[in-house]
Amino acid sequence: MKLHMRNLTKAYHAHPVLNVKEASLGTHGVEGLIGPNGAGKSTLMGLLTRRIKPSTGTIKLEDGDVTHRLNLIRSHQVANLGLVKTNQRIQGFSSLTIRDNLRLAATSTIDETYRGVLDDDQVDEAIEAEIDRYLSQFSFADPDGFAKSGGEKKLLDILRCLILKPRMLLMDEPTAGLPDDITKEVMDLVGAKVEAGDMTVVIVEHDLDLIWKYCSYVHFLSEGEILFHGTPDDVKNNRVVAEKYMGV
Amino acid sequence: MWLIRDSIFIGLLEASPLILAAMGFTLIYYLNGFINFAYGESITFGAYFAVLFNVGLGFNFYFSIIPAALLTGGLSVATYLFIFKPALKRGVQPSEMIILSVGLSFMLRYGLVLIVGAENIYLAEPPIAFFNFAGMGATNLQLIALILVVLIALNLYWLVYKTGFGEVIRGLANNEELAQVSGINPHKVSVRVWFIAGVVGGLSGIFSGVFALAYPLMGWNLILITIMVSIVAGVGSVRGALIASIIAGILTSFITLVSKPLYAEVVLLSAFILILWRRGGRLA
Amino acid sequence: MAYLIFSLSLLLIYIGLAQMLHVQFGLLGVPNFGVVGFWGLGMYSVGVMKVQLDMSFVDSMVLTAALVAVVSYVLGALILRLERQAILCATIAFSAIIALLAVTEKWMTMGVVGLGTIRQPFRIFGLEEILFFFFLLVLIIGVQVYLLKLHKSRLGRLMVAIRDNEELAASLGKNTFRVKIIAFTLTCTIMGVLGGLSAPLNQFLTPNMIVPSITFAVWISLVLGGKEHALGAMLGVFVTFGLFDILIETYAPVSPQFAVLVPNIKLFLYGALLVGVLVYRPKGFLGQSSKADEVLAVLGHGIAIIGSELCEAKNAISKGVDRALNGRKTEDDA
Repeated sequence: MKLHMRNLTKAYHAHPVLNVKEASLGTHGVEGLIGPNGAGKSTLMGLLTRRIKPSTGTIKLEDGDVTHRLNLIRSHQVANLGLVKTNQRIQGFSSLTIRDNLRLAATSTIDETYRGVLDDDQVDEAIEAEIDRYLSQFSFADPDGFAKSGGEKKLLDILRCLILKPRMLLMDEPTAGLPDDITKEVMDLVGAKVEAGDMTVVIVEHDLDLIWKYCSYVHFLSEGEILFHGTPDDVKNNRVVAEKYMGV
Repeated sequence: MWLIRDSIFIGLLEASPLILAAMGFTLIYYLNGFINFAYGESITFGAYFAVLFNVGLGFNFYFSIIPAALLTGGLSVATYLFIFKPALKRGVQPSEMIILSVGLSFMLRYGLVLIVGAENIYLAEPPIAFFNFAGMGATNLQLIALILVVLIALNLYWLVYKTGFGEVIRGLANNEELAQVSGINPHKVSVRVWFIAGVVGGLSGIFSGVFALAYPLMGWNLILITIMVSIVAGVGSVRGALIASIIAGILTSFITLVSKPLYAEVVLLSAFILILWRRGGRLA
Repeated sequence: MAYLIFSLSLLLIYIGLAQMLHVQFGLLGVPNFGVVGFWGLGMYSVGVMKVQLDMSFVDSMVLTAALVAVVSYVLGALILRLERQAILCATIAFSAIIALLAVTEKWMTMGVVGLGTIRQPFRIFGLEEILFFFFLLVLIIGVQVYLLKLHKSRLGRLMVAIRDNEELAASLGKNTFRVKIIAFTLTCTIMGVLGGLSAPLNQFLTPNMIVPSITFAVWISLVLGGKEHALGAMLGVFVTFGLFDILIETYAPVSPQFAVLVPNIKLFLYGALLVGVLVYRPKGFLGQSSKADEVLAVLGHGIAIIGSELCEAKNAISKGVDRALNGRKTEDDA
């Protein structure tokens, strides 16, 4: 699954924050998106998931032979097409337990009906089995209760996205607030899913070591524009990136 | 032509309580960010305090206005200190703050009814004179009310836009921590804002019905349109509240002249829902 | 006896309204402050259809439900994307419009003169009221059973998720606006149907029945009982309406001289209770637990609270009566 942007701009009160002439994401398995603070990374992520409306430009989602124009649809439809994003800031449903969080994500909308309320059986065995698999792999202090620490909430956020079985996963600063060993487990799982051809991934991250380690292609965003893209080695050795970002 | 002229004239006369209430309401809304239905009771209590001094204690009609307004300011501060401040500290959500304020509004209103009864109470008015301007009539009391409202509105406008106090309110509303660092005492400022808003609300109540009477539902009847006007004007814009309330007054008198007074309210309320919808989300 | 059945029927209507508000505010987080508008629209709709157009009760109920559904769908489409404070203001404005139209549209509603008489649907002499009461009882129990199931259902989970964080729910592929507008239309329509059922109860309709204190009474019931709890609405109405409008008005030995004070004392106490609960116990008596085994314990607790509430209310009333007595005396002396 690939994303194409063309002449994509976003301005707040005539103050431009993003201006992408042309770019594609999702062609290289795991990709990285890096850039200094205020470069427009979060704005771009918001635009891609239709949380933010662009000022001008088009975004197309290419899924095999089918192309969807994201400009025309709402954020829940984007998710239903298979494009899902993990959150940079901790987000959650404060009254749902960890299991209910995952059940909510895994349950299809066609089961969430008024007639369905009367069914005695509100449990889907396949979904429960999948949740059990995730919860045995990633340990929570109280797996049948609520996510307590910031790290648990962040992990739950990522699992909530993974259980949706996305075709393309955008990860907005996945390591922020997550312990190193959990980050590694998450990234290994994500890597395995990409290997298997289940999805493509774009990681937005400040932790460059993680980018160099897991990404096969990197985009460099600065002052609202994608100034350079290439393999990690190309990016590392690029003069513009070095000047604008790594402070060399 | 006479229609437009009369609409403006009557609108201005009738809008005076609304102008004051909208400005006072806006101050609290801007500072604390929730819709305070109990502000309606500032209006009601202002009128009843005026009755207390005028009829109860036999003060001169005009002199009873001052202590009544000050007392209303005190009541407003008390509601802030004992109800709203603790609730804000507990982190009660804005939509629940509104419900809280409706609860307080009922408590104050029916507390008042239990003490003084639900009947209209009339003030001991000075003799009424009738003036005539080019075919339009107004009583001396209406004109005095209008002049007083203009003076108070100008004063409030000056306070918010031309003095340091306005700056302080803006600073506090935008970023409380930053304001505290720069030496602003939030508690003191809040108390002053709630006091001023209470005084203005009390005056609005005294001017409602042009110094004529007090009844328990007067604040509730005015608060809905006050809230609408303030929201349409934009959060925290005292200037906007002033303009919007004048427009609402003129519009009301226009529709009243061409059809019925109640239709004016229906039109304003429907317009309000449509304006909210067009604005799509935020109140400001 | 007839009056008691009337009061109990009205109690059931209030429970129904609070149950619907529970779905709207407690589960979905949509603060509908125009409850009386939907209820009043339904009531007047049935009244007009029966009195002015001489339609049968069933026909008028069906048409009323359709009318309220259309109105609430349009209103919902306009306001449900707005933030909560705006929804609250818009719904209260809607109920004010309905109350005003009941006065102005005299050709339909007879205005302040009043519209009547609307007869009971069950035409069995002597049993009309009691049959209607049992009809309402079955209806409300049915709704309650459904609500208890809703709390454990997938749909209920989705509603709670939307209340907690609508944007996040949308990012998981949930069409949150659709869920909200369907639930809003459905629950507002039921509020309208409850209004329609109130028409033969009240028999004679006047615009001053559509007052904000009804919205307020429903809200206080829900907030006191626990807005997020499946049984909160029912418990809240027992504590408020059941206590004041049935126990005290029917059984308390209040002399007619002071009986006129009771509604004012009631609204004063409602206000005070609401303030107290929101400042000190924001989740209400029942909190938000929904596990079946906890419900019984909680119910016991609730009954204990009703008991203490009763004592408190009695004290407050005797105080209020004292105060009123003294007040009246000084007035007389003056």
